[in-house]
Amino acid sequence: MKDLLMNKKRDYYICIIITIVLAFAIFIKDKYILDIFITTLYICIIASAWNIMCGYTGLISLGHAVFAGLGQYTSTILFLKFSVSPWIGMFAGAIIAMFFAFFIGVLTLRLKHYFFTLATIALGTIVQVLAIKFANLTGGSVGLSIPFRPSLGNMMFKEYQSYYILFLFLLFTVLMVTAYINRSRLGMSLIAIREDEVAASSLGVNLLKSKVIALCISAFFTSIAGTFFVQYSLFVDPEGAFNLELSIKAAMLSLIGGAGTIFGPLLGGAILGPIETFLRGWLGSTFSGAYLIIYGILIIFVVLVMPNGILGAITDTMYNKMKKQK
Amino acid sequence: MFTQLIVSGILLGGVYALLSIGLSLILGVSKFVNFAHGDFVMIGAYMSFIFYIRCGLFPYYSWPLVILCAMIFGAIIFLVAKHTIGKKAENQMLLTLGLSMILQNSMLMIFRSDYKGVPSQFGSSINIGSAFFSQEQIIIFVIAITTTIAFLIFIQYSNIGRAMRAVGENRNTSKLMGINVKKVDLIVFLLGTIMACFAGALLITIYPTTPTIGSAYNILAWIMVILGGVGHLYGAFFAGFIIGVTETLTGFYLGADLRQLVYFILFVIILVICPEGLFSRFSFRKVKRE
Repeated sequence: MKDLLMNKKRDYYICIIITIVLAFAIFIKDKYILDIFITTLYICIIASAWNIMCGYTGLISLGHAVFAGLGQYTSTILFLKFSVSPWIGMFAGAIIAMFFAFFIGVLTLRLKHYFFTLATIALGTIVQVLAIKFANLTGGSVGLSIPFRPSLGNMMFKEYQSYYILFLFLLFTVLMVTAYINRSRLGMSLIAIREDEVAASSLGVNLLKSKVIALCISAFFTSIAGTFFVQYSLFVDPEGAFNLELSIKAAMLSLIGGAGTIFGPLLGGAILGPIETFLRGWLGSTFSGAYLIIYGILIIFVVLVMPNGILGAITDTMYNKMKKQK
Repeated sequence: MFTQLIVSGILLGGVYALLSIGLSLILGVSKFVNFAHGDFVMIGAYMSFIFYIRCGLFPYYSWPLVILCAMIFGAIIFLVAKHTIGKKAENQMLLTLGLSMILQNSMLMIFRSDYKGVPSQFGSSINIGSAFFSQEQIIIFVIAITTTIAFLIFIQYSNIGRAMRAVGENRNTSKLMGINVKKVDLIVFLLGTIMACFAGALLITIYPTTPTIGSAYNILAWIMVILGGVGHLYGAFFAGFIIGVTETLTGFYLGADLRQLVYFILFVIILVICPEGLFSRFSFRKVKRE
C-alpha cells in the first residue's frame, strides 16, 4: 500500500481510476441528471486548466472566461461562415486564445501579482465590448446560434452520452497534463515561483518564460473546453461567453478544492457543482444569486481557516500524522 | 461644448479622487489588496438612498450619518480582513472577492436589480460662459474636494498621519519605533471605507445606482490608483481628475458603451509605458519601494 502511495506514477493511476469511475455515468438515462453531470464536468475542466497556471504560481487570473469565450466564438464563426468543422475550429480557437494569453502574460507577468489580475479582468471587458461592437461577425449582443445538424464531423450528437464522453476525455487529458507538469521541470519552477520569486530567480528559473508557458497551456485547454461547450449548448452570446462570473467560479472551485494540487479543482467542482444546481433549483424562483452568497461565505472560510484548500488541508494532516509515527 | 465637457469632467473627477485615495491609502499603508472597494462605494450609495427614502434627507444633509454608518461598516469589514493583513496578497484578493460577492448579492436580494436614484433637489442650472452645470454637480464637487484636501493635510501634518506614512514605508521598523501598527491598520481601514462610502453617497445624486455597479467602480478605482502610482496619494488625487475628464470626453464623442474600453486601453498603455504610475517621476523618493 505504501509503495503504491509513494510510486512516481501514482498520479497517473489516480487519473485513470477517476476517469473510469466517472465513465459509468453514461448509463444514466435521465437527461436532466446527465445535463448536471456535463455542466459540472465543464466547470471542472475550466477549473483544472485554471489550476495549471494560477494554482501552481499563485497568480490569480480572473479572465479565463475570455479564453473559453474565444474558443466558443472562433469555432462557431468558422463553422457558420466558412463551414469549417469544429474539430479544426477548436484548434484555431485555442491558437487565438494562446495568442491572447501570450500578449497579456508578457505585458503583466513581470509586474506585481495584482497587475495580472486586473489586466485579466480588463481583457475580459475589452473582448466583450469588441464582441458586441463587431456585430456583423459576432452577431452583436443577440449572439449566434448553431443549427442542429447532428453528425460526427459537425461535433453534434443526438444523445447526451456522446457529449459526456467528449468532456470526460478532455478532463482526462487535462488531468494527465497536470500530473505530468506536476513532476516536470516546468512544474517545479512554477512551485518555486509561488514560494519565493526572488529565490527561484536566483537559482536560475526564468520567471517570465515559465509563467507565460503555463498561461498558454492553461488558455489552450480552456479554449477547447469552450468549443466543446458551445457544441453542446449550440448558442453563444457576449454576455454569456465573456462572463466575469465564470472566471471567478473557476478560481473559487480550484481554491476551495485545493489550488496547486492535481485533483483539487476536480474535488471543488464535485462538491460545489451539485450544490449550485440544487440551490438554483430551490431558491431560483425567488432569488437567483443565493448560491453566490454561499460561494462568498465559503471562500472567506477557506481563506481564513484552510488557505491550502480542502485537499491541501487533508494532505497536511496526513503528512503530520506520518511525521508523528516516525 | 469642449469646455463644457472638460469642466464637467473635472467636477466628476473631484468625487473620483475621493474614491481612489481611499483605495490608495489601504494599499499603500496596510499593503492590503482590496478588490471590494467598488462595493463599499455601492454600499455608501445605498446608505444615502435609505436615508432619503426613510427620513426624507437629501444626500447633502445626510452625509454625517452616512459617515457614521460607514465607520461601523468599516469596523465590521476590518474584523474579517485583519487576519490576512501582512499575509499573502492572493489571500487578500480572494477574501475581498468573496466579500464583494456577498455584498452584491445580498443587496440584490434586498433592493432588486433596478436602478435607484435620488431626484434632483435643485431646478435651475448655473451657466458660466458657454457651459451649463447643475447645482448638484458643483455642490458635490465642493464637498468632495474639501474632504479630500482636509484628508491630505491630515495625513501630512497630524501624528496619526505620520504614523500611517511610517507604516507604509516599513511595517517592522515602525513596530520597533513604538507605533501601534494594528491601531494604524484599523484607522486606515475606517478612513478608506468612509471615503468610499462617502463617494458613493455623493455619486448617487448624479448617477443612479444598482447592486452590481460595484464591479465597475472597483475597476475604476484600481485604474486610478495604478495611474497615479501605487501607494502615491497625490498621484491618485490627480488620476481622479484625468479619469473624470476622459470619461466625459469619451462618453460624448464615442458613446457610453465604449467608455470602459477606453479605460482599459489607457490601463494597458500605462502598464507598458510606466507601470510605476504617471507621477512617479515627480516623486521625491529615489529608492524604489519593495
